[in-house]
Amino acid sequence: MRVIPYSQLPDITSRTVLAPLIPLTFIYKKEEFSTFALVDSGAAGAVISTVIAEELGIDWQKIKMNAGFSVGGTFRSHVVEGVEIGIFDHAFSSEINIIEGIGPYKCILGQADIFQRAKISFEGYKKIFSIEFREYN
Amino acid sequence: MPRYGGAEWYSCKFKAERYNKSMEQKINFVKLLKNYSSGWVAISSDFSKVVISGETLKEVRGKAKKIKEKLYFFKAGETYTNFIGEQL
Repeated sequence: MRVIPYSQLPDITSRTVLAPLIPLTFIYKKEEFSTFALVDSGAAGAVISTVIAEELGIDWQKIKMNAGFSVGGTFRSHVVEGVEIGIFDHAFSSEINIIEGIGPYKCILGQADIFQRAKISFEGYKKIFSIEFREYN
Repeated sequence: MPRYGGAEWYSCKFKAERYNKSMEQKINFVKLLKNYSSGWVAISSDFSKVVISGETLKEVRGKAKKIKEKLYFFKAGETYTNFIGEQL
């Protein structure tokens, strides 16, 4: 089990924002991209920006567009399958939603991916979360 | 075979839990991004420093090819409140 402190992010005001971020590496075909993802229990599945998709060599404009709804309103997404996600010493394959018009740094893991692979417990009062990957025989 | 009970058992359990848990290092983007108001950065694998910076991700990724260390790419100068949807 790994215990991960919430990361401190700068805010537009003088405050800081605390968020459960995790370092990860995406691998798609021959391309690799390492960044930080928000671990979001309220997200249906993994999300990346079009900028990150392009760095992974994904021609997202050629992938069928789907419309979606979130608390932030409607969005346009493109689903890509077979993206390898490496987190610490674990790796798994997942489909990922490429969302148009979101911040270029945005990368989110959600219920369809990380929450199927690991037990995740948030302790907001301690500003930490823990992650314990499932063992497969 | 040793037999444990009461406080002894709790002591062993506590030690085992401590052994099985590993606390990761806190990633402080406030400190890391302090000197970068825009563009992209490449962060070292121990998350302690920015190794490369540039105006575009392409530029930073290009420079990173010369470095063997694993680097993590992140955008500087953003409104990160959006990440978690906090009210302003």
